[in-house]
Amino acid sequence: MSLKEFSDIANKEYEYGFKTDIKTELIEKGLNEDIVRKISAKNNEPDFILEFRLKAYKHWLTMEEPDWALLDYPEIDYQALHYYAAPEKPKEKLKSMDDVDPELKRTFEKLGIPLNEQKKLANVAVDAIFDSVSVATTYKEKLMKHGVIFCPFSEAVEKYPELIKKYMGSVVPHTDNYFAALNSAVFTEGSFVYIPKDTICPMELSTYFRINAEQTGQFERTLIICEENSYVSYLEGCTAPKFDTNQLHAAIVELVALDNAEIKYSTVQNWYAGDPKTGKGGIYNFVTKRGKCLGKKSKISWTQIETGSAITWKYPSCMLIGDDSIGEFFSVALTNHHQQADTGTKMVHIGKNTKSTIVSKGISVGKSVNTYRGKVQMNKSAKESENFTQCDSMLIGDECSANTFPYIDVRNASSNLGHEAATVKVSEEQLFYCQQRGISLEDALTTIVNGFCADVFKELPTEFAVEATQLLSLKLENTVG
Amino acid sequence: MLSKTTNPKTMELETLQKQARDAFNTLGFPTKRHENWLYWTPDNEQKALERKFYEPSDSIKENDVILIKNGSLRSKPNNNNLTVSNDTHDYQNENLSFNLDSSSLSYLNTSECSEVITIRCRGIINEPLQIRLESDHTKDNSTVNTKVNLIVEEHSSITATFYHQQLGGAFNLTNTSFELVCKDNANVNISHVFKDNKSKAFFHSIIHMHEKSNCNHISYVTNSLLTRHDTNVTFYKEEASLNLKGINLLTGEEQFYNHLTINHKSKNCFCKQHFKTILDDKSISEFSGLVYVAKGSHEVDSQQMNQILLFSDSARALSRPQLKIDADDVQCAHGSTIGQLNPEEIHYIKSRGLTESEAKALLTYGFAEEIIEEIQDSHLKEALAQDIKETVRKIKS
Amino acid sequence: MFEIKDLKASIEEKDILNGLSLTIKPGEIHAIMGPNGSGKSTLAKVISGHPDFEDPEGDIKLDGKDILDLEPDERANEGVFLAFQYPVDIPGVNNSEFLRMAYNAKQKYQNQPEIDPFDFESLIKEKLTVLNMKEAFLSRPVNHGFSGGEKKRNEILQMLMLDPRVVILDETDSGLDIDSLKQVSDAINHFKSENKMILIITHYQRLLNHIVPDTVHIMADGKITKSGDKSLALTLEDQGYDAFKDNQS
Repeated sequence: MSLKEFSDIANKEYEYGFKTDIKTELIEKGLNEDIVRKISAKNNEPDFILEFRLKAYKHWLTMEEPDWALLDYPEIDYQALHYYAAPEKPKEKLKSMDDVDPELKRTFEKLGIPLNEQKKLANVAVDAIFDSVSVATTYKEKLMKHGVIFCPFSEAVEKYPELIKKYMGSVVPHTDNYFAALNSAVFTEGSFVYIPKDTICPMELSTYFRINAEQTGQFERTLIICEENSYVSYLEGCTAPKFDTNQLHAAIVELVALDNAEIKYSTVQNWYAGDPKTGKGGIYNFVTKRGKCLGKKSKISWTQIETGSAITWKYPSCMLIGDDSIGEFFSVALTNHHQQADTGTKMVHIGKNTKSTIVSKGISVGKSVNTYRGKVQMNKSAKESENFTQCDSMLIGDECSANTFPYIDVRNASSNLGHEAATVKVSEEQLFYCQQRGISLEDALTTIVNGFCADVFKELPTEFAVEATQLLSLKLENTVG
Repeated sequence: MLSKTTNPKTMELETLQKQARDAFNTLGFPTKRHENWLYWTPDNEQKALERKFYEPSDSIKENDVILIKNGSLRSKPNNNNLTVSNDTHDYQNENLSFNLDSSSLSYLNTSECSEVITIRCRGIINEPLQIRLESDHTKDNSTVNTKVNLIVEEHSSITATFYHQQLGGAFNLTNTSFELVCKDNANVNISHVFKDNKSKAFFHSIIHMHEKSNCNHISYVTNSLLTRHDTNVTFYKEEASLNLKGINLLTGEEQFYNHLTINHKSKNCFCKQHFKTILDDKSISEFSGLVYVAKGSHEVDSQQMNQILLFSDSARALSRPQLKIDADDVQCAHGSTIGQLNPEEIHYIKSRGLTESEAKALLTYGFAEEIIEEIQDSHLKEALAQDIKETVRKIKS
Repeated sequence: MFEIKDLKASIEEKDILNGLSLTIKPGEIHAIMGPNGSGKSTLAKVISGHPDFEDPEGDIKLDGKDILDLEPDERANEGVFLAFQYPVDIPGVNNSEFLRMAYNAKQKYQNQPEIDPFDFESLIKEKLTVLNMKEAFLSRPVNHGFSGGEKKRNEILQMLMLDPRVVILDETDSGLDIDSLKQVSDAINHFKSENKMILIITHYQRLLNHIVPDTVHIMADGKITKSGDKSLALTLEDQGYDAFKDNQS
């Protein structure tokens, strides 16, 4: 990337902070059994989904919000939120993309996600989710020709109830944790991906999440199933308008990989992070992401670029059940101003000869707190398994914090594990060296930070690697001098 | 937490003990609530911990070694550079912490100890000093609470080895507290040996590092049923340097819980922590090491390494190195490895005519050697080397 | 013309440069020799604007323009290039992208358009040939995992690419084997031209067998104590620095 592009980006503010003025249909604030039933009714769901919701809701009532993460935020009033918000739409189903509300199309266009048939992104199929509903999914028909199902979750419930029954909650049960229980009770929309046997998904799949309405929560559910010998690369992006109040995002992502299947799941998270000066507003991001490597030689790879949100609580994990399965986690988490992130992963080795790799790069700037928290567990059954973990933290400025909290548990005598963590400093000498070559101080810093993250960026699909680099330089603006 | 206590130095022991008791009553025995990753809770030991055993002695003999038996001081050497006493006034001008906030058992120690033994080193002591902490009570289900402080004055130097030995029956616990003050420019070599303990041992060390002090601290745990060692280090002033090392050999159903907290409250200090553990049979080892660098404590250099050799599918290794950093100009790293001997190396040694078990013994000793080499007390060093060679030969797998 | 007049610099209240003066005319090569601690490397740092040396006194002028108050990147873009004694690692940053950034920074400074990536590629390949370096070199991270010799050659590659007016070679010969020393020297001789000004800082005279200086200066205690032609370097090699100590006493 050229210097000019760098500096252009560096001078922008949070450019996705606008709000779309559109008539929104809301279910009244608050959470109770009645609301859960209303959400279910809005979606015309079959009984088994409603039962699932109610079971989860009842369980949620018995649970307590977790407090072990190194996060400091005021108590969330779960009764003060709307659990369903949707742009008003005509009763009939949309026949083509042209029927989508032009205001919504414009919104996504502004976000760089054109939905029009003519303009849509080449080789990336997109499911655009606006508050609680899916606005449009591109390339659906083309994918269908390959047997690939890519559709909104609600549509999958209607069309493929057997798959949903079989897999929903099989990776993240509704009892898993407080936020997973909450999501299971009130989830609205999300994406569903099914890759049949022996199929390499012909294009990148992507879901773009947009929270628009104030005082709402977004509770989407994503489910990806890869049958034997199949492959998919999936990417999610997220943005939200600037509000003084906090919005809650509590999503669930479940991945299932059968024999020889591979799922590559990438996230570029850029939710509104709150006001840089006061820390007011921003998204509270409490997300449960987990993949099951059920089949032999299956592979699940998580890549995340976390730059947004006021609070991030997120541990994309792999259950390595199938023999010879592989789990990977590559993460860049950049926190600036008043942001707080407690993120990492969990690798549970169950099958024989399973392997996992963790690479985490945390960058703390401003007054932010950035924590890596990760667990690697090797069960007795996981003979001859391997893990390698590398967690590096970079601190820029004197008011931020960086923490590394790994949890390692090994229960067999044929596995190997190596964990390394270090603080990395942007040295005066590095900055001076760049400057002596004519590169300005701010560009030098961005370049060095990008270099620090290179091992993670190279895991992203090319189109998004550029976006990630840009995001980083944007977030680093005015941190030197 | 009992953070509001008044400074111990102005307080009578009785008051301190009452406060500690109150704190313990509030905190209770360690549970998951206090220690967010706890694998052992003293459920079965609670009664014994509440029942104290103390055996006072009428006189303190003169001897080469310092003997502290069943919580009381029995003998001390005659050395002009050393004062040893159980006079409660002896520690009162020192800023001791007395308790370790991270473990309620240390409050129990303060509350239940009957003597506070203070060893003070003033000057250079060349000959390694032996300190024996023995318990031989036979009355089942009771605990010996020993409290020892070692104060090394400015520009003073000492090498001391603490032998923690339970000579009594299997159901008698020891709950020991040790506070070490390394004053400005002090030079200190400390070893703690836990060997052949049939009962459970709880040990709290609190280490204070002052300006330009230098300390080498080695712990060795072997053939001991259950050892819990909580270490809390604070760096107050610049250019202090601490080497914390440990070598642990666990077989059978032995358990070792090693909890470290390093607080860097000053800039420009150095702290290296290196632990090696060998696990066989059904043994369990837990390591938890937190390095905290406070805001403004720049140029801190902290390197932590925890390495484990696992020889059995029934053994379990838990490792939790942690960094908490609030300053941007620091060099902090930690690492943890869990694994086996390198089969290539075993093969190489076998190809030179040694048997498989000899090869393994050799390599296992090699794994431990790096730590043993650091021991300053040459007698101890030899004894440990011998010990390890013998134990390693017994490792079956 | 590159002029240094009465340059004084200190670090932590310790004076390192004590009024150093030096003038290099276009086309000239000067060498500064001196024992450890004489202030040679400090001179290189002060010329390039290292932040360790706050407010040095004196003048540093390039073609009449005072550069002493400029930021390090501005000095670089004015045409001052320092080949570092210890080139710094920048992990994860691609060597050729780094060079392109530097190249374009200079273009921007001179209000020139950015170089076309393809033009850049052919330019850099041309320079690689001069140094007998492999293309694989370009895709590695800047100086990261480089051998001592590779680092030094990388410095010279950057010099050839950025085409500066003034070059300071800070102990470029240290850590080079004979073959590398020859290649590096050849590249510098190739670079040398009528309008370039080169300042070689070195400990030994062996580099000067390959790159022949017009003037040799001996430095001690932050000052130039003696200047002469290239034969001075040989005399120095023979008699040692003690013979040239400032006769202060």
